Amino acid sequence: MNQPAETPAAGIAASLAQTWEAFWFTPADSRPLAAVRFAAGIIGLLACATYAADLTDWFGPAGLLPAETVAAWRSPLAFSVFDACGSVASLWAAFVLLAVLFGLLAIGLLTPVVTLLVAIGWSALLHRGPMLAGPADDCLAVLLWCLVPGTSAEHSSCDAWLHDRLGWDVARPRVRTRLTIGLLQIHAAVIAAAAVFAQLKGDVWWNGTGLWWVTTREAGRLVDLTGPLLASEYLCNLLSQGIIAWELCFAIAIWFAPTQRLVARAAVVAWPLIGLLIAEPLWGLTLACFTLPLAGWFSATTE
Amino acid sequence: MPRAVATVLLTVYLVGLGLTVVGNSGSGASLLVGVIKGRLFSPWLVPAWLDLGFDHPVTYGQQADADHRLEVRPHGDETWQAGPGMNTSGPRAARWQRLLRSVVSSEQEPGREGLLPAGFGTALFATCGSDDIDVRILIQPRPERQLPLALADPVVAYDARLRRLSGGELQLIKTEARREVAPVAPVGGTP
Repeated sequence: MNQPAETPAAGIAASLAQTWEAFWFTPADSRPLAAVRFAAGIIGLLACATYAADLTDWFGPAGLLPAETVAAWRSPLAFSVFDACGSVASLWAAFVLLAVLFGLLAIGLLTPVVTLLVAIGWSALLHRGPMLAGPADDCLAVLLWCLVPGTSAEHSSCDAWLHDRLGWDVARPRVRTRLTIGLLQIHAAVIAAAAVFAQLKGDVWWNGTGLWWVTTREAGRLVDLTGPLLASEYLCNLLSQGIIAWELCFAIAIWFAPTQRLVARAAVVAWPLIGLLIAEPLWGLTLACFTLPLAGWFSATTE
Repeated sequence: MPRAVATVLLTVYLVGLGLTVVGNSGSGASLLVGVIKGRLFSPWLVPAWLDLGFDHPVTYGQQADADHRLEVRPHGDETWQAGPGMNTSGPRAARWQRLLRSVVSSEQEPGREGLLPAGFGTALFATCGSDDIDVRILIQPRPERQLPLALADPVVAYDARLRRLSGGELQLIKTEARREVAPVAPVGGTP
């Protein structure tokens, strides 16, 4: 019996289905996620540190941002467990608990539960003061949620050590791990592409003065490049437009096998440097963290 | 079966991700996209802090993203004093800057005008030791990239009087900047 000839549409559909299947459901080794988990825990602790010194000034009972003011200001769909912290002691207890969760995430103890709790806790802290949140906070929230379905504690973690001692399940390539790596890749590309679109809406990134305007902002600045940028217009243009070029290159090249590993490795250096230049160091570190699994340093299964 | 479920969940999430990017950024998002996102996706993306447009321009070189400074004084005093958080640096200072920018920008957002400054009340009354205070936010304009650097005077972006009434209620009286107006034309033609 003759098989009916495959139509072009059916061929495309089959090809798409195959690509989808390979991208999301090829079991992957979880070593790279251990690195992401550790880095996310450390970045989370650093992010908490940027809140710690002013926590009472902002969210305390006599703080600048009373819970009812923030509730009226933010989306009605949002809520935060920190709203219920009516005293300084309870506020600090909740905050320290969140910091401890980030610490547990870094060392990989009780990871499946901790990963979920830390994502919920971080979102709650951001909802308590949405007007304080910046790009790094957004990206960290996404990073934490991406880690939830994965198995980031199968290697280099307290959980792995305990499981090894108890003779429990053995680490193996899993679909869940691949799901997390896929989500990290998609979000890294989307964040970089969205940054390019946002920046190119302003003239300053076209005419090469973008970095000058960032540098002349003193509050929050980590590196003062005013002198070198004043001295050389070429340097100013090169750095400003280099940032745009990098973001664009990253968002595209991360999707092609021949360039993926190269761009992911470069990203581990480039994003933190850009973060330093634009006074968003944690944003740079978080984006570097997104690309760690694709750099191929930890296993060969991401190819 | 689990893969089919995962495929459905991934597809739904990725559609939501696309809509958050298109709907949150000002890149020509249509009202329809915003409505679809708001009805179907925001209810579960917002609580998880995932309703993000990722439109982080870093700067547009505009006054709105220049350095902001909070100053307070008891009402009637001549001397302004720096508000809380104004002597910080690094990422901590960046959070204070976002807060002050939100105060200034929310004055243009219906329903949010005066909300944050009024919320500052209790804390700033304690800072000034008075229940009747003046609050202002200054913006330091940035110099063009040319020598010599021309540093302009700070511009007042927000100015208000905040006081606690006898019943404990807060009253916010915003000080509007005086604008230049054209002279009134005399009745009966040109002078």
